[in-house]
Order: sequence, then structure tokens, then C-alpha cells
Amino acid sequence: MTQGAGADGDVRKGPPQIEKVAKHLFDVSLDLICIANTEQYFVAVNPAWEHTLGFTRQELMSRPYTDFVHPDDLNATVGESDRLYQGVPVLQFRNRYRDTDGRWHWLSWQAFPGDDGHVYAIAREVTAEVESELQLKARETRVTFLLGEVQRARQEERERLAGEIHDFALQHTLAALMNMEVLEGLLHDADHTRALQIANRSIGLLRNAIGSTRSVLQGLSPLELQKSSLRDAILRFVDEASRSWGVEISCHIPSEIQLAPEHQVVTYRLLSEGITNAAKHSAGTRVQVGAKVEDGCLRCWVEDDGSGFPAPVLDGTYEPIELGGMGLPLMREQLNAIGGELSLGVSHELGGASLRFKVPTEPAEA
Amino acid sequence: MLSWVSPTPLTAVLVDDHEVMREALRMQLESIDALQIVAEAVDGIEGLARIHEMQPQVAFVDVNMPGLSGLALAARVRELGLATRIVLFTAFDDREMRARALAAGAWGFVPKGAGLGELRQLAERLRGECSAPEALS
Repeated sequence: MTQGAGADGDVRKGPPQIEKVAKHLFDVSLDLICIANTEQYFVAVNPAWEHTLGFTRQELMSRPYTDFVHPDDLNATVGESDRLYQGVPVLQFRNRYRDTDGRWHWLSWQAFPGDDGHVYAIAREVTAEVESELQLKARETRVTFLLGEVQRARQEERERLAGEIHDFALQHTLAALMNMEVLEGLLHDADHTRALQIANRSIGLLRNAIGSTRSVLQGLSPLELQKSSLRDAILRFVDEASRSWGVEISCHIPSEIQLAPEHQVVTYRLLSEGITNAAKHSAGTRVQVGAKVEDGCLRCWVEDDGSGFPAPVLDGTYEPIELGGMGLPLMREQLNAIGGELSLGVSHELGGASLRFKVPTEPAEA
Repeated sequence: MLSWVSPTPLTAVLVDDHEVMREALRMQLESIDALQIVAEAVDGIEGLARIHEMQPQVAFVDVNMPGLSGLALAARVRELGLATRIVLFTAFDDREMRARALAAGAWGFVPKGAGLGELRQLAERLRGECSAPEALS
């Protein structure tokens, strides 16, 4: 800093000596300034090094600077050093240095080869900036992953719906149509007894097709929840499933369930999937459905007296895409999204499959 | 050898993994005098076994089945050199599927829900082919 003329104008000092200014800047700089030799030792470091890393200047100069560098950055650091000693300046380089507590500090370097064989370098700590970048990158990776998961789940859902409609609604409707063809012939031949049998069978097939179509539509958008409580919606689903698939379903759901709207939708979907699976695919005749509030969670279960889950499903070595339609991965995904959990096992009471899950009664914090 | 027209109906095997569809197909096919169902199978693998075992003159086979699809079954019957004619059934009637069915070696392709008239015509064509002199060789 220059000092101007005094008030009397008779005192004027000469320009500051550059070496003195440089020394002063060296001492007060917040950036890390250093001079290194070809043996990879610091020969001078400014006080900012001590403030940043906690080592004394003597400690920093007593061993190769590579001793302080993060192992993952070592090769790159040595490579940049070699380039410097070949006369090539370093303008953008980052590596990590260890402090006395073992924490790593990201440094961004500018370094120049000197005429005297030394390297003159300035580093700025950019740990916060790098961590922000890494967090941003991690978020981007997470977003990409989640988008992929959404795509996968949508595709699974489309396939599930296509399968559901093809295997039930379409087959039953086609079968009813084909029966009608036969019926027409029988009426023509005046075989009324057989015609009546086939007409009744066709009515049954069409009822099944309607039930299956309703089930698919309810799974798509549980309209039931918009016009009634979760309990009433489940009871209606149980009633429909029992009539459609001819199984005995007992249901015990508390009258008062306080759940966030999105938790209600997931609960309804999982229970309806579980009930559909038990009623249609378990080869059993009895199903028990229940729920109770316990420890801040709504605990739900669907159990049957059917053939049970295959062993690989129970021991976790195989997770079927198809399980009553929605598939276990999608069930887990929907539960995970709201902080719930799914477990599969053997029903102690009925001996068949046991599907249990819990849903927090309070929404997860964002 | 001179041609000989069989007075008996054609023997047929029915293969479909949907029980309601097997039942409806059975009722339709049984109402056609030209056909007699001699066995049914609930999937492609069992269907191939029944065809191999019973050597029916025709097999009505669903296209979409777990394990061995109708297309794969038709191809396997051809590879094995069996004389059974395969008629593929599917809920989806489209040109590509018909082409794939014929490429796989199927004799015919019928959409599920086809009218009895169409099935009768198909049965008559089958009977005509099966009773032709070359079919007896």
C-alpha cells in the first residue's frame, strides 16, 4: 500500500518495494500459496496452509507433499507435477489434501514453473463448491434412476392391465359370445333344456367379465375412496371379490382409520391386490383380511388357506413380477415411497399365504 | 389307392390355458358334427404330449399360453413330422399374427369368437384335406 503525501506536503516516501508487498500478501492471503521443488517437497508455504489444514509449516515442508494428497488423486497430482517440471503451467486442477483431523479439503490449483527450477502455486479451497457439485450430481443420478423406475413401473402396470383384461374380461366375454352362438343353434333345434343351461352359463361368464373389469378399473383409480371411507371401500371390494371368485372372505377393519390420502390409496391398492391374489390364484377357499392401528402404523394382512407362496419367494431369492397383478416389486415400491414395509410368510391360522404390510399413520416428512 | 371318405368325425385335441375358453370352444366344436374332441390340455407342453400320444387329425390351440406358446407348439409338431393339423386360436385377429401362425406351420388361424358358420366351413375344409388320397399315405 502506498502512503500519500502528508498534510504539509513535505514528506513523500518512495514506491513500496515489491518484495515487501509480496511477502505481506504471502502472509495475509486466504489462498494457499506455496513453492515446491522437484523432489516434491514444499520449500515455502504461507500461513493459510496452517489455517486450512492444521499442520505447521514445518510439518508441511518436512515430507513430500504427496503424503497429504488423497490416494485417489495421487496419480493425477504426480502427473500435473511432471507437466509443471516440463514447463507446462497448471491452470485448472483439483485434488484433495488431508488436514490434521483426517478430513479432506478440495483445493483448486494454479501453478507455474519458475526459472529457478521451483514451482510457484496458488490453491483455493473449494470443498463447499465441490460438495455442492457432487450433491447435485448425486441428485441428477437419483432423478435419472427414479425416472427409469417410473418408466419401468408404468410398463409393468401396462403389462399387468393388458394381462388382466386379456386373461379375464376378454376371455369371459368371448366365451359368453361363443356360448351365444351355440345357444342360437339349440334354440333353433328347440333343445330348450340345454339352451337354458348355456344361457345361465353365459350370464355367469358375463358377470365374471364385469367383475374383472370393475376390479381393473378400481385398481387404476380407486374411485371408491372418493365417495366413501377406506373401511367401506375395502368392505365393498371384499364383498365383490367373494361373489366373483366364490371364496369365503372374513374382514376385520377398524371403523376409524386416520390416514393421509396418499396412504389410503396405497393401502386400498395393496389390500385389493392381496385379496384378488388370494381369491383368484391361491387355490384356497378361505381368506382373512384385517387391519389394526399399532405403534403409529396401520398394520394390514391378507391370509388364505391356499397353496402358499413358493419357497423362493419366501426366502427372497425370487421376486415375481406377477402376483395377483400388481407384482411384488411394485407393491414394495409403493410402500417404500410412503415409508411402509411389506412382508410375506405362511399363515399360522390358515396355513396358506400371508401377506402383511404396514403403513405409517402420519405422512413421511419431505 | 383310391380316395376314401371317412364317415367318422375328425379327431381333435383342444389346447387352451383358460378353462372358460376351453369350455366354450368345446361346446362350439361339439356342436359341429364333423369334429370329435378326444382330449384337452391346459397348456402348450401338455398339448404337445396329447398330440404326440393321440395323433389327432386336428388340434385347436390357443396362441398365448405360458410355457410353450401356440406358435411354438405348431413349429414343434412340424419338426416332429406329426400329421396333426394345427388350427391356432387367438383373441387378437391381426394380419401379422396370421402370417406368424402360417410361418410357424399352422394349418389355419381362427379368431376367438368366430361364428359357428366359419368353424363349420373350416371343419369341412379339414375333412376334405384329411380324406384326400395324399392324406392317407
